[in-house]
Amino acid sequence: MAKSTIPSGPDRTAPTAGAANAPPTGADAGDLSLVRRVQAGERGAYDLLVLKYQHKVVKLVMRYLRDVGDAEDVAQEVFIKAYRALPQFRGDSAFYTWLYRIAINTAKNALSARERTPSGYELDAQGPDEWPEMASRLRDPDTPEGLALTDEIRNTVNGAISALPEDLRTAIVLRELEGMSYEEIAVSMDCPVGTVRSRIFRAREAIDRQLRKVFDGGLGRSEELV
Amino acid sequence: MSHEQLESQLSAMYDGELPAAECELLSRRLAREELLRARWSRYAMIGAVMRSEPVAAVSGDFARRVSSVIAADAGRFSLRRVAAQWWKPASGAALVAGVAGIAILVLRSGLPVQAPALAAVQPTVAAPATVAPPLATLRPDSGYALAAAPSREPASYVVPPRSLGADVDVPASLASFVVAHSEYSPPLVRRHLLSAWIGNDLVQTSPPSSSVLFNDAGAVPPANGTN
Repeated sequence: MAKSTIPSGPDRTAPTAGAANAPPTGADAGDLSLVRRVQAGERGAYDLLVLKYQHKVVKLVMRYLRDVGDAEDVAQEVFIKAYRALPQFRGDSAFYTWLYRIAINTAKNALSARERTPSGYELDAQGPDEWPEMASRLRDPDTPEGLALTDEIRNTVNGAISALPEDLRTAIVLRELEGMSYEEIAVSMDCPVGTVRSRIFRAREAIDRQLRKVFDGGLGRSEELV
Repeated sequence: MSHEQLESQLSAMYDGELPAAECELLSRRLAREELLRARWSRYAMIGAVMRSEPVAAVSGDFARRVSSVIAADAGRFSLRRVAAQWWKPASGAALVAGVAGIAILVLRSGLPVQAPALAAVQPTVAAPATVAPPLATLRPDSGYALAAAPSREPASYVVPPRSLGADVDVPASLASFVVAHSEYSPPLVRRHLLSAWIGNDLVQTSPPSSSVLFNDAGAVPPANGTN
């Protein structure tokens, strides 16, 4: 019997919906701004949401489907479903929380269809715990190449962050880990908002410079991967 | 604008901190500059890795594939919407017209249906429309009057077809139907239906003055045609 790879504790990838009624801040505010533009008819804004969440959604789907190609196909379906449903998205929860639910249900339905189980109904579970029989069939999707790539990316990003000057590191950490707005960071770091914007940009650039090296020749798949 | 300024804007836009007007301009550049899009995607990966979120490397054309499917889908979707907008009023009108048509058929078919039953009670009606001589030209000794005298029955009279069902009562259920229908039907249909019904009613209730020219007694025969 295959061992389940579903974490027994809280799912780190599952976004929490606890702050459903709180005004969106940080990344949520950025997402909501893009969502509103999509809802207003600007389809290009949805491309940015896809680019932003493609890595996470593909990784999430890979928990259910071993094959990377299959996972990308299902992830594509996830984004298309989400786009069609976006007019009904009211912003009560974060965009990724909503997208995560679509991804989980789509992946489960795809897995169900592939295993030739009856799938004439729409599965609507909110998490793996609500579908234990399917959760038990989940496999570790990580291939050695995938694991190596992920490790390389992590090491590169973490190394680049460690090498950042203190002010840049603080700014990017407050933004990415704490989810603070520029204004909040400005108050926290006692500097103008423009300086915060500049620091965060320079921090990202420094990390991205190292990351591009990984993609540009590190693992042989770089040209076709982002 | 220098490339660095552009990238600085991209970073701010990624965080949702760029003014809307600048966002719009940058979005246009993002739509056509693959390098900027790739950078945007890597910014997302950097954030995910910093938060220790699981990420996977995906094909470089993944977002493009999604975008092209959505673009194709959007075309179909808008066509469906146009079709739906066209069909909605058309189907509504068709439904109303159908109901009105059925109502008219029911109203009209009601009369001939009852005619055979009436014919059983009304055995003989002089079918050929015999042209009777004008009253003024009749003389007491005319064969016309004399021939009819023994049985006191009219020798001949003209009955137009409409008077066949002249005394048929419209069923109460049918009347209720027309009244109910008039509440929902458009005025034109309602007027047509009601006028048809009322017209029938007038024929039924008014004395068929033109239907019988005379009988042997010079009196108008009963409306039910029994003679």
